[in-house]
Amino acid sequence: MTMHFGRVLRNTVLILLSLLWAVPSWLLLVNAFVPAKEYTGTPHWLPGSFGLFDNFSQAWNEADLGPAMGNSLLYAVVGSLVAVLIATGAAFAVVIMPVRRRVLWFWLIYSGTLLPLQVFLRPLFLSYARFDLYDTQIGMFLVYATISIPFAFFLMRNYATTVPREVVEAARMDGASWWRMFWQIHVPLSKSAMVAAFSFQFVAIWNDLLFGITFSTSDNIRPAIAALSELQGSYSAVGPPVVLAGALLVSLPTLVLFFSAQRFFVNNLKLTR
Amino acid sequence: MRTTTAPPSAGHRPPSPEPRPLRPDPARRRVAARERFAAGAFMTPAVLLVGVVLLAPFATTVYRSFFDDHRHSGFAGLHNYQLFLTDDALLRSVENTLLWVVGTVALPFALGMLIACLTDATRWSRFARLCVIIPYALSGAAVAVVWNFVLSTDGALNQLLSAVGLESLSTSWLLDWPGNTLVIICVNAWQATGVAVILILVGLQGIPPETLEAASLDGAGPWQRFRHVVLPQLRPVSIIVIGMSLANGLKSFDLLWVLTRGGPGRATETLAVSMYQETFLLQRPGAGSAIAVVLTVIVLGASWLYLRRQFDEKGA
Amino acid sequence: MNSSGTAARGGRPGPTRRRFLAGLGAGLSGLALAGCARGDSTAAVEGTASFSNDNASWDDGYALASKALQPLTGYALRPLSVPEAVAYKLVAQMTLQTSRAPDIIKWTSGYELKKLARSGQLTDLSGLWGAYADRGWISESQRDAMQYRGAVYGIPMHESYYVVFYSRPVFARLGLRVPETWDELLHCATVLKRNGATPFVGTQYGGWPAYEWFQELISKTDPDFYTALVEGKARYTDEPAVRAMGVWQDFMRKGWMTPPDYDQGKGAAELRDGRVGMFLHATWHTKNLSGADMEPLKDYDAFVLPTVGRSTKKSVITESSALAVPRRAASHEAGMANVGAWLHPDVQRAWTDYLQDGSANPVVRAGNPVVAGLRDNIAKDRRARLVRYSEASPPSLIQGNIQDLSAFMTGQMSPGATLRSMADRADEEWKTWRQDEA
Repeated sequence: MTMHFGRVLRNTVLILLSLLWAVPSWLLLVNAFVPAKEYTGTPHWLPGSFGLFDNFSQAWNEADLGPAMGNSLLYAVVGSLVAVLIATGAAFAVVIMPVRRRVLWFWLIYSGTLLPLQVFLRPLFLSYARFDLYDTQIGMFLVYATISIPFAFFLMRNYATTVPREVVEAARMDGASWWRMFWQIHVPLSKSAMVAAFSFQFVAIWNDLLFGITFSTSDNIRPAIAALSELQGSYSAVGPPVVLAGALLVSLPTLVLFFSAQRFFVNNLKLTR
Repeated sequence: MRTTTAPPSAGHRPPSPEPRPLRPDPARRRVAARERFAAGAFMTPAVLLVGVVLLAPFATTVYRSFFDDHRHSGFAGLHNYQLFLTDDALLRSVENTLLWVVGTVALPFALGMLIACLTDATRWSRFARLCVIIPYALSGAAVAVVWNFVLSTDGALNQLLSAVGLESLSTSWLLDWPGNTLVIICVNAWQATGVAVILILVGLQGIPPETLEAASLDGAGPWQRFRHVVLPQLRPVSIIVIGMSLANGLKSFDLLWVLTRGGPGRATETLAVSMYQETFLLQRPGAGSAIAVVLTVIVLGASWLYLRRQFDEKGA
Repeated sequence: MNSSGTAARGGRPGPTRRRFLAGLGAGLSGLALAGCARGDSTAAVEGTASFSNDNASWDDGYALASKALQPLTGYALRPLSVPEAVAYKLVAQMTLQTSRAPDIIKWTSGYELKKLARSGQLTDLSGLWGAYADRGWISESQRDAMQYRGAVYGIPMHESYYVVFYSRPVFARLGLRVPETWDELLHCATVLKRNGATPFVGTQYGGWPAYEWFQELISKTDPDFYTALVEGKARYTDEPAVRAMGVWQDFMRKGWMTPPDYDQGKGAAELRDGRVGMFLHATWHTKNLSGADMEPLKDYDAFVLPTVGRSTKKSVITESSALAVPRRAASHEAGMANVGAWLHPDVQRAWTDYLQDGSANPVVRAGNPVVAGLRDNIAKDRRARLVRYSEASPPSLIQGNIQDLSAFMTGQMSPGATLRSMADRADEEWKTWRQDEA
């Protein structure tokens, strides 16, 4: 009886919560379908006529999203991959290797994520211009990988503390080098955390606007979110449906990533049980 | 389980994985030096990048905060910091920032825990989980447009309220303080809970099912199992979720900027928005730098206080 | 990501390691590849003038202007855009100090331009202005917003007016005609309100629109006072300002204004559907009206807001961005040549037909008949052209006052408190400005 009641309660809470969460996403989807010319100024609740592909193509052309999404993909994949590897290495060193002043190193790296991003704009821009990094891909990689490191490090460090130490000590006894231990033991053990860190940093880089609009102007450098913001500027003549369609289009890669990540997390859950 | 059996590693007692040598032995010392060198090699990329790209620009900001904003900028001592004593809008901004911290620490964590624990591997559960994760993956532009749809005075929420006869509840969600700040904090929770859910799911993997079964056999109800078995084992994950929310809450900028730009007036400003306003819109980089420094001190201080305690208790 | 789908167990580390090494390798080769890739639009290109701007959605218009410029000057126009206004300002200001300075920049006229000119980073364009003036291709009324200490540093990019758009079919249906006097305007509002439409669009959404009604009501109460006010020679607490704020508050109390969080982006559609009656905005908004499927003169038209008093001097608020040439421009000659030909009728026709807005060259007739009609009316009534509020005073004063006006519109501050706060700020900011000038 109580089991039954608990189940009902649980399902009610779940349904309510997911409804609450789904409604804004639903509005986003439905209004991205409204043909631009039929938009009346009030949000639609139900899908009417189908203008999604027209809106897609208008957003795609106006903001030149094709190359921009290619750029973003490159930055997000390479930037977060490099960041996660560097962060995992640093976490491995700080937690497992014999290092002095662990606390100091931890805070040195972690503090990067505590600074407000807007602080970096002016000084970074000036040094970028000085060292010819402004409006280059390498400059974008540099800033994206670096802003991703501190949080990925935090994540990986906390996971490293949960790795059973017996494994490491056994390997040490066998005379394995740190390099080997890192790749053969530590990385495989922290894999799910690494995937999580990668996913978060991928999304963070993909959705960045601040650095995208400040450090790039050329079409072959500018990331997708910066290109998308052209649709939203105060002079822009496209209506909300086109902005939404563009935003939806740009969000597809992150949605796909999370869809597959969710599957990964769930599968892993089963594996350990 | 893992955390409790793990011997102390990092933290305030720098231990070494090997027993300390009893007497200085040159060969051993060479090994130790090589070890430290290897550790340095693992850490260098991270320290170097963060130091050069993030910490050095911040240092220039600290320096700038001691100079005034006249055309020929001169040394001003602590003059820029006095704004915090005289500017009412800045005081409101501090208030809002505190609200944000409470909101972003409590909401996504509690909701994330609820959703991660209530859902299981069934198809329908996964759908519910997906609903929560989707907003996290959406870009800021979409979030801004949709929530303006919902929250503006003639928007969807008020439409809905009047449709179900609750017209008296409809209000200008984004216009009146402190309601507007609270509403935006909820929007933030809508977007940020997805991360918490994922992290907590990853943490749930680490809980050996045997411990839950053992607790069941001991006659523990679901709540007791959660309270005494699940929650303690989610500790490492909780630290991450709360540590992250703490920093994000204090730095909150994006969502505010796209929804209200800190307005109306300066009613919804947080310190990060005030800093942007002063530096880039009012063109007072000195004052902006001072706000940035104060904000950073607060974020660092809060994170340090929280994490220090957590690391200590965990013994990690 | 795809490597994660198949979870390897800790016991078989080999493939995982290889996979990660492969990933690392891919990353590094990506980086190496990236070393070669740099922005192709910031480097100087022979035969073009780079043009830095904050609005990429006008790219097609720039291309049309470029096509008209090339035969005249030999240089094409190569736009570089930063699509967000605040970021643009930051980036442009900083690039001026580097070797990557663009050849032409689009800049806000008025005090933003004066500040930039004061820093010594812009070229004196007085010669170009003189040449334009000799041919009658420029109106002297724009000079104030373009000069600093007697020298001209900017050439107007276009000339827009702040006017009231209305839907012709809706006005016809309700038996309304274009209001010539204040009373007629009030009549229009009353009728619209009675028929379920919100008479006026007024909002603080997006920040700056908060001053649209302020500048309009003050200048239609007393244009000379408006000029004195924005120049720091009159006080915000003076009588005409108090009167204007009273009118504004009265409009809000009667429910004649849209909610203050109204998004102007939907204004065009709501005007078409008759949900809002009169839309006070700049003439560059005509493009959005076309986007909502409205045709000029057939579906929409516009008028300048009538003066509050019958005998008040007639005026109109104007706006223009400026084209300026950085002193350190990589192809300085190309920049000068193209700015020197910008107001040529051939270029202006191509440009303003695209923009559907007014040209800064008085000789060129606007392609959009609504705008052309407005210009005729402005000429016929000899309206004084007033500089838009945000270009007429120092930027930090404007920014702060926008916040006060937005607080007023949302009922956080009374009209009196708003004006007092603005007056105090004006005292302080003008003092700072004069100090910096000295």
